[in-house]
Amino acid sequence: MNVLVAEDDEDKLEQSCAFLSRWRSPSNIVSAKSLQSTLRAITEQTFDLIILDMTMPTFDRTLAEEGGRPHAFAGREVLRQMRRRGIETPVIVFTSFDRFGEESDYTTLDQLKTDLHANFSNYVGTVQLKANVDDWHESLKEMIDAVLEGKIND
Amino acid sequence: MTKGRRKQAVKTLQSQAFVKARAYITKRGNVMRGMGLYKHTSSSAEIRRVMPEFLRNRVYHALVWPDMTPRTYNTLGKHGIWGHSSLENELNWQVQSLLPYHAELTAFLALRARFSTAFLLGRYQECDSLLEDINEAFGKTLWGIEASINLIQARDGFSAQKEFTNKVLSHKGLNPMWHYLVTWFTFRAERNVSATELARHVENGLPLTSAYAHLMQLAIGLCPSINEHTASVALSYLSHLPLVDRYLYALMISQALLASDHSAAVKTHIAEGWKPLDTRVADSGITKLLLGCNYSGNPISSFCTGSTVAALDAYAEHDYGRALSIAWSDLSRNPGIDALQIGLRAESAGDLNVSLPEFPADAIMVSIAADLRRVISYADDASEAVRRLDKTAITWPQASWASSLRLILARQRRDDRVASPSRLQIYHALRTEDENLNLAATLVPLGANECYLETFFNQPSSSSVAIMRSVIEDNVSANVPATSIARVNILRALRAGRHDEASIRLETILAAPQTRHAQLELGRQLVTARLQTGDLKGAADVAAELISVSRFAATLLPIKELIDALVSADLAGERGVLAPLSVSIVFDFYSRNISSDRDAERADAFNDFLNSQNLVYASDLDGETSRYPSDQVIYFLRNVCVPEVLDQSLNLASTRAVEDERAKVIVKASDLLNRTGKPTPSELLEEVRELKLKQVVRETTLQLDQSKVYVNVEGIRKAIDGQIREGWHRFRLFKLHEGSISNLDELSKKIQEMVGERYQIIISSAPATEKYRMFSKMVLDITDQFASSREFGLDANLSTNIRHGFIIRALRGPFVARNLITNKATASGEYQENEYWLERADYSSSQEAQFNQAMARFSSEIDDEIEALTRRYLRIRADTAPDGLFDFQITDIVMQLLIQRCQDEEDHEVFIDRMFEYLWARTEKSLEHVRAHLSHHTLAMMQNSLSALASSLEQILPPANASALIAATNLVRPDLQSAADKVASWFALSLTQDYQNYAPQIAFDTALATVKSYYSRLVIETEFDGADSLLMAGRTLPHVTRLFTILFENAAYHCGVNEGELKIKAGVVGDSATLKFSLSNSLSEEKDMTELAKVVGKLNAEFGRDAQQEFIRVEGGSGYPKIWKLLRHDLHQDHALEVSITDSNEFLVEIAVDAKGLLA
Repeated sequence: MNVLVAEDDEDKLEQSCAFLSRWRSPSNIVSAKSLQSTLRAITEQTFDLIILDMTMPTFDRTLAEEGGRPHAFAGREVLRQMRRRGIETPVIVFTSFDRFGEESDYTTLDQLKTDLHANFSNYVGTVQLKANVDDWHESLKEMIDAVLEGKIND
Repeated sequence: MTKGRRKQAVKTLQSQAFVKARAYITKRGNVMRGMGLYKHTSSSAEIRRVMPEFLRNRVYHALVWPDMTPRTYNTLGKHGIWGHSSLENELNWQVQSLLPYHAELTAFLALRARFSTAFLLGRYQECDSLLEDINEAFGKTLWGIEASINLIQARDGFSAQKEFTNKVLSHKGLNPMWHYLVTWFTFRAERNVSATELARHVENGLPLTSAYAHLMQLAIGLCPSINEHTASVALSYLSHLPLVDRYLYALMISQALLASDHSAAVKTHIAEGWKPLDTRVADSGITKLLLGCNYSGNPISSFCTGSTVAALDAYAEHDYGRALSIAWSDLSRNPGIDALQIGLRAESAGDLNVSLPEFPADAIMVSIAADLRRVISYADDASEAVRRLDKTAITWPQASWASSLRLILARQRRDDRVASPSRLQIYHALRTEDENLNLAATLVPLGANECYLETFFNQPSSSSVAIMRSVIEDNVSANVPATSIARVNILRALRAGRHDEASIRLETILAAPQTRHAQLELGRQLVTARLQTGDLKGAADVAAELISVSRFAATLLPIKELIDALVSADLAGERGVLAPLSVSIVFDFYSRNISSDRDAERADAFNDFLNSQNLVYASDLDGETSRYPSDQVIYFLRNVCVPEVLDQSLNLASTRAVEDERAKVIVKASDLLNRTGKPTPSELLEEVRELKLKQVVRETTLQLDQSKVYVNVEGIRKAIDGQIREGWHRFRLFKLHEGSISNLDELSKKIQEMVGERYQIIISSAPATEKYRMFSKMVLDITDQFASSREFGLDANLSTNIRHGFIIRALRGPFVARNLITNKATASGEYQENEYWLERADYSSSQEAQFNQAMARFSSEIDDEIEALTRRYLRIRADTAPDGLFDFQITDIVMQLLIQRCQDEEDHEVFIDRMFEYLWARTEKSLEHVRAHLSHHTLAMMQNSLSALASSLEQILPPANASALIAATNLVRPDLQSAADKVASWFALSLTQDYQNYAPQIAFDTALATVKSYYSRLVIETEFDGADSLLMAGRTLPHVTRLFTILFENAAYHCGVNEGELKIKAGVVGDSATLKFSLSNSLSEEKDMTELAKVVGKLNAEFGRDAQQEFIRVEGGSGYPKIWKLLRHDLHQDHALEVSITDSNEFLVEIAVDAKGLLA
């Protein structure tokens, strides 16, 4: 299984990669920490699954790079670009937020889920990571199972 | 029946009806209630019969007209009949109550017309006099208040207007309903309140949930959709109002209703209601209303005067000079908006340049004419003109000239000759000042052509009437001038929805050269036609062309519809639909002028265009320019290829790459402009300068960040050279003595070689421990200097470059930016409440207490962690700092190793070099520990604190209140990670940096960028004054930047402003002898200036004194000892510093420095 984990929060990235390794032992986990690096990854490689953060900066942050513009809906933009390019890899959105954007583009997580379901056929669902609840492992596991069981068993 | 008997019978019948009505009313117990119920239950015919009787009866008259002409504001809007009835009854009730006073109303309308003319022509004295006359005859009215407010605002300004309004509002008896309306009048009149802003406020403050809100919106100048029920309730409110206002608002409600609802029932009610007044009151408003209801009672011969038709005919025949001349002639007799419009259209279409008729310089007509000219000629600044005209027009909703103006502006956007008019267009068409042929098109949806249009169509010789008739009836009638047939056919095709035909006709006509005006008008039509036929590329091509010619014309295009169609086609997989250059331009125009909701697709269009051209970078476009109009390529480069689009190209993988590409694009655009004979616009040059400056600042910041760990080894070397040389010689003597004690003669020679004198040697057999002690002392002296010299050592530099404010600001910065952390209150020492989040939700008192506790605990945890880092860990390890991570303690074993390594060196300088090598190695090891501590301890602790905070908040607060706050705790994590990475990067051995010579502004901006990132809640406005000729030596860059950073930090920290604006003015001036640095900053108004004056005195007295130098390695306070160190020991300059408070209460620091060695 070739998995892309798109996540700009190092801590969350480590957690999700560790979880994936422990549970599924994917043959390859690629990480991307920004909108651009995620888009580059999906155009350059083929993945079986994408775990996608919703809010990311434009570029990977380094000491010399502050990340460029923040994108409250980077995940949706990735899905949009996938649709434009005909890439149908299943995508699970993995987020800590229950609200996105500000003022005119303010959206709740529920509204966003509805929007993603309505517009992107490869969107599988969303797993929310909450500070005081530790059930995201189960949710993510169930969602991945539902999508990949057949494929992995093959 | 004879005439006399018939009259008697009618009178008897009326009297019986009146008696019956009176009986009904008095039976209710309360006559007011009885009147209301009577209005509700009786038939409209009965109302028409009985109302004259009511008005003849003194008691009932007082009920119908509580105060027809109030003498004071106290009685304006008092009493009135409560309850409402059907539309039919309400209209009959109000109109019948007005009927006996038709002569008074006609007199009022004549005075109002004179007032309008006087106002438009700036004859303000006459306005005053007319207002007095109206006031005298008709008492206090809402119309009078509104006119006075607007007049005073226009003539005397806001204060006088406010004074007048306050006086009116101070009358306690003024009906609250109308009192509220007056507050809107005064707000609306304010110069800075635009029509859009007014509409936003009104829609928020008066949502359309009641008839009252509808009435208020209408009165304020908006045009809400209004239905039969709402209109009837709104009409019922008018029974409070005096004669003039009741008439004006009843007409306004009826016009708004007809504009919203063209049903036969509504038309019948309105026509039946208003008919009795039509022939009695000289108001074209009633006549047009009735015509709109397909009722033609009043002859409309006065409509569209001969001169108006003549001007329009000349225009239709393309004789623009004649059209202009007739219109101007009309205008000089009567300042009408329609005549003005016809003249200006002729001027623009004929490309004429004629002065307007003479108006007084301060007349509002002058500004209306100037702005309308901008709009009609599609001038570049027409959008601002539209905003001003909208403002003027909405301020005078009771003036028919304002309706004319609003109709012209609405038509500019939506041509009702080819598209159905909007509700707003119909409403203002019913209220417009003059009768213009164009109204024929606007009133068609009402079916008014049956009677209204006939008036015009009965002028068979008129070419303009023939054209309008041909368009509306879709056939070319006689009298259409041959030169107009092509355009008439286009209008016919567009109106009939034959867009293919319209496109072909438009393309044909546009293939021939056209005036700019015609090109824009026809181009607009072609965009619409192509869009309707699905030719999206064709529509985008024309739109892009128009955008290049007139941005204002482009704002009138159906850009949103075009964008929606393009996005739908792209979504449907239509390949290449976004690839044309014109599509990128259209998306960009949409993004800049309409909405940012398609910015992602704008970037798609940009990328698709480059791909279609096989280009990687937009800056490579030059070779392709011949395929596209150069103005479109220039537009694309200037406006589309901006950083927020470029950063969505996968070929540009960093901010730096995006900036470089933008700079190249600007150069390319500039080249193209120059090739077309145009100079490079100054804003492009400025943008490149800013891009470059930003890059230099960023790179300099990075370089300086990585050279914070610094020891002035040359300074130490000079300071200890004599002492170590002496010590080393003595040590070496011991060494020689130890190695060849038998050869005293050789030893004597060696000493002579070393010190130049011959010594007598007496062997006293010194013990080995003495040699060790001597060596240890030298090692410890050098180590002490290296680690702790207050002038040159590591600790002093750690304090100046890292611990003094930098660490706390860098690590606290992300939390401050997300408002997650507060400061301690000076007096109590407790953390302040987090007002930002408290203001954003409703908490119960217990939730608030728990919230405050959680936030204070979080602030405390973060600050404690940073405090521990700076006070315990980022220290030179010593007895007083046992946890210090910079460990230079030397054990006996290490000392033995050092002796072994160094003892054979003859030269003390080599020994010092060895020691520095060793100390740098120890430093590097310490830095590793610091970085590990930051990552594994500090960052982890802070992340744990964040998780604990989020967890607490989820428990304490309901989800709706916690949501945004929890989001902030998540958003801050990557920022915290970056901040920790950045701080960790400071703890690296400084690379040998080769700084280029630089302008002082580089140091200024670099320091500013750092301090701005620390104080995200301050809006720091800066001015920098630096002599262009000054070029500083590169080696001074870190020190001068640090100097500015400390000064900025002081300004930000001590200015007394926690959130808001901080103004900083700085300068570097001078010559080859002396440089003068100055920096002044604004201070909070709450700053204790007496206390500050004491601080100023103390700073001036103590700067550079020995006692102060003790504070170089200590954090907190003013940072002035560190400034002294930077100037004295890092830059090695003589200097003087003075601080003061300026006359304008700014804090000023001035530093004069010996320029020797500082300049390049």
